[in-house]
Amino acid sequence: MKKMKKMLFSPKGTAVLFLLAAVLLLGSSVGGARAALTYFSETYSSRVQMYDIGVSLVERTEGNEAEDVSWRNYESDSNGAWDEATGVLLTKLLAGEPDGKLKLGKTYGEELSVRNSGTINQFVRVTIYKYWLLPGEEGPEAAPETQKAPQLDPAMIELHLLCDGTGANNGWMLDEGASTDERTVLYYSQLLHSETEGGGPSASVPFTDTIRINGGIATKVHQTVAPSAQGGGYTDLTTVYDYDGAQFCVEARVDAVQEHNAEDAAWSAWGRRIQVSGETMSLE
Amino acid sequence: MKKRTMCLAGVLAALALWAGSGRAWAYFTTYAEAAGGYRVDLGDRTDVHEDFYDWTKHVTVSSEEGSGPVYIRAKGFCGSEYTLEYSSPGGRWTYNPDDGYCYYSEIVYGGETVGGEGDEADELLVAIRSIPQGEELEDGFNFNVVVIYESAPVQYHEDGSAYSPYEAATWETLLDTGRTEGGAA
Repeated sequence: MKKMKKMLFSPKGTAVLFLLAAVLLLGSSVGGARAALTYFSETYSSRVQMYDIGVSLVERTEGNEAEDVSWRNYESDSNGAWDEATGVLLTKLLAGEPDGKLKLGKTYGEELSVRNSGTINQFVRVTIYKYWLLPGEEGPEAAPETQKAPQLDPAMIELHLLCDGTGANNGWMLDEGASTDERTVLYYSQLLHSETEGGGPSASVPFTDTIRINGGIATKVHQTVAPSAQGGGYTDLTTVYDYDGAQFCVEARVDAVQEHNAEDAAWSAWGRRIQVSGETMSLE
Repeated sequence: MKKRTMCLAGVLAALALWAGSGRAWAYFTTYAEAAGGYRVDLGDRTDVHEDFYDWTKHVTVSSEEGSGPVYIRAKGFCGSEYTLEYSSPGGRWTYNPDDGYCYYSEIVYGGETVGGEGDEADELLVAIRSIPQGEELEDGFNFNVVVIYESAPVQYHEDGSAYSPYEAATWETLLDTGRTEGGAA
């Protein structure tokens, strides 16, 4: 016994114990990777729950069917690859216009919603950006094709939101503290169930229904004054529309987090404190 | 010796905690995003051409290719001794006695011409009446009739229907001139 004690507390014994502990620790972490179903027969079946998160942004323009525009779905059965696609919004907006041109002041149908396209339940939020782009200025260096025009008012892009402060209306809550004229942040208070598991709706109600470019942009002008080419002391006064040639842009991003431990997941992934009670989320 | 053992045990405990906390940090998250928009083209340029014969101005208005859709109206000015009469063979010009303007009832799109060869029905005719005749015409008689033409971009209601050319909003919307660049010579 004494010998054993001596050996254990000797430097060699300590080192051996340390190595043994480290090997055990490493062994515990790689054990999962080694586990595999190596036997299969018709008599026995095994059900494996795969935790694949996935979310899709859904758009429906007037007179058209709803369709997934963008999605990003984890596929654990494809060696952990992501099935993802990033589409373009508003492509069918002007389908009803004979000349294919946007009419200022006209209200166009534009419904955006979210669909759970994964296999686990999730909570979602949406961030919408509205801004104007202008052609890049020519110069010695290659200018970008278009560049953001902060001098043009994003509020003129009237994307009509279906939300309120608490989500009592239809489930969509506006995070006023995080929203500006250019950016709007919405949270969906209801849990989105996975389509495979069922148990509740897997798609949200729309968070927008229409879009309209305010006709007032046709009244925003600036003037240039220059000596007339005709001479004679005349002056040419040219009035230029501020928004002429500008392109309006609407950007929508949907973020999803798992239902399990959603409060911590949202804090970690979104940096936003939320409270979850059953299948309902609220903002702190 | 005891200290070293304690140190090693502490390191092992920290390793074990680190290995465990790694799992606690991992959450299932994902995202999807999309963007889109359209270019807005504003601005228009219309040109006016007048032919004068038989004491009548024959007016043709054309909108340059690429111009936005516009409404057109015209108004003549002359001395009090004359009177002006507006008409058009096709009846698409309407005189409004309240403001003295004559309005073209249709939208003029970029590249279109109102009146002119082949479209005489849409010509605006401004006839000058009460012209002195015969002996009343004195040597050096002259007169001056000025016709001004205005165009305004077509505006739309929320349902997509266009404002009519007779609606005040079409002509009375004030421009917001934010800045002026340059200066006179």
